[in-house]
Amino acid sequence: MKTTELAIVGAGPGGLSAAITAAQAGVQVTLLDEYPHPGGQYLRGARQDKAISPKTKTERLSHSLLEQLPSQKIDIRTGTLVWGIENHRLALHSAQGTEWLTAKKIIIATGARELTSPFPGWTLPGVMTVGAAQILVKEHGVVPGKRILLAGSGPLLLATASALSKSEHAISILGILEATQPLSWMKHTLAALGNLDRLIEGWQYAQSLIRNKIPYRFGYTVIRAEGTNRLTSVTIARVDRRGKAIPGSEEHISVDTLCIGYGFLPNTELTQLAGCAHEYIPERGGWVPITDETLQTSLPGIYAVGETAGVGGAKTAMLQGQIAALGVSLELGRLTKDEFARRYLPLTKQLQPLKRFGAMLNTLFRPHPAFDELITDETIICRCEQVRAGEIRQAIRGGAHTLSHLKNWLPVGQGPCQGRTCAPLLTRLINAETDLPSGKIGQFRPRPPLKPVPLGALANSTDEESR
Amino acid sequence: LLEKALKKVHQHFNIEINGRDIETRSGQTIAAALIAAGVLTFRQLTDDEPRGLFCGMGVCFDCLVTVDGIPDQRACMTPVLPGMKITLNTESKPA
Repeated sequence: MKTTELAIVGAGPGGLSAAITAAQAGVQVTLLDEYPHPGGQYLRGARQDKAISPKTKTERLSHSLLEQLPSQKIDIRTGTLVWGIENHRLALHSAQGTEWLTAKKIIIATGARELTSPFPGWTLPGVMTVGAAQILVKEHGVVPGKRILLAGSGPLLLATASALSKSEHAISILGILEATQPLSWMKHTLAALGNLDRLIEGWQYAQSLIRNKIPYRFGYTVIRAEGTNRLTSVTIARVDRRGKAIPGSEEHISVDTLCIGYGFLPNTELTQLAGCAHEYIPERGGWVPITDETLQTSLPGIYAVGETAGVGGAKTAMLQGQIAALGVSLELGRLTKDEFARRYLPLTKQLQPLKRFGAMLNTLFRPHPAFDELITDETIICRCEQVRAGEIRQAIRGGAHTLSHLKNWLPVGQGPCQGRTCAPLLTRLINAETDLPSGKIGQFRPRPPLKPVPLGALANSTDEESR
Repeated sequence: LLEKALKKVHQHFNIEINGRDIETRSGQTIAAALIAAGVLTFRQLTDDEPRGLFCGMGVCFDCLVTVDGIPDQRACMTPVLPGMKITLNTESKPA
């Protein structure tokens, strides 16, 4: 069995900054990532497209981490899925097969996934998350279709429309439907003002929309996607300030691509499987592991940084990565207490305004509870097992008021995605039927392997165990 | 100029989709290659449940395809390799 001093799971901005900080302090670091290249979602495409120069300070910082990486003494294992964790042992799977890695300290930086909001027809090919469209165009130079509409809430819609508009392919971006009203943004002005570079970034996107004449419509949402074998049209409607669709406001638009997104949710499968204590904090994007001032979870030696510890963006992730790495270095005796304090304090100061900004994004741009009325009983909620809203509502009325209870009644969360996509949607349906707060509804319990691993590989790993 | 520079970096080659050759380049995922070739439907759960790319980042498992005989591979996570044979399970199954 292999060993290392510090294993870092996830090579996005948080994992990269943790790895470099710890390696420079003299810690033996193994950096693991499921993707073939380091960088995470945030830096996807950065490697291919050197011509696109980073614009904001955060982009420049994260790009420079990626550039520094090869010169560091770090064991980089990309294309390696971490599918299990037991105490301080990680179960890995890569093209070379399955193996175990024991680490004195573990930093979990598994990032976030996108939050969506279902409507009839959202499983049709041609409907995808804004993130999926962004990866296609930025990393692969491929556009998802010719007539594209973006809908949901938050800045990623703008960023994706802007990226699509820069493509050389002949496409029409028919518009962005932003579900919230500008009035609801007002009370968050203070949080925004403390984050000038994020505002500048937003302004740059807005300019690119104006240049490309892309309509931006507040208070609109998609109520239905239509098509037989693939998406051919959508029906949209105006929503009032209470989130209710306004009768008679429906419009029919012919599209071949619909990109949807409502921000992000922390990926906590690994921290859950490890046994870390979690709590539900809407301002951080949902369920997050409880962490202390050095991002250590309730389990000694296991840390969570970046989106995993609460959705807050790349800058937060990089600062937290450094903080956790300093904590690890102190514990391993590579830093004195004085050195630690000197480097730790300025980092935590920088985190404060970011926290407020993250909280704004995670609450302002969420699907309005009243959107539940747009989810008809025929709407598929669990995409893996094709479980529809009607059956789920029935089960809830029958007494299934937690996710694990629902899982006993229906095949929800039992498909290959293990409920990653449907868990927040089921939570919403339970909220709507019972008024129970999300924290009481619970999470699905993740099981190893966290993502499917070939059966042969699992058999081999247990063989090694029994030897 | 940029186009030329990129062409130098990327190798261009063919992969096979349900017996048809499509051109792709190194660094692309199967999902990107399929969509570039105009293929949106990657599989059919039942007659009226076609599926394609959804999350694009390995989370949702909607984009499963068969790669060189190995079923249920995520098209959005699997990079293309020269001569790869992809089978799309688009034969409709009874509901």
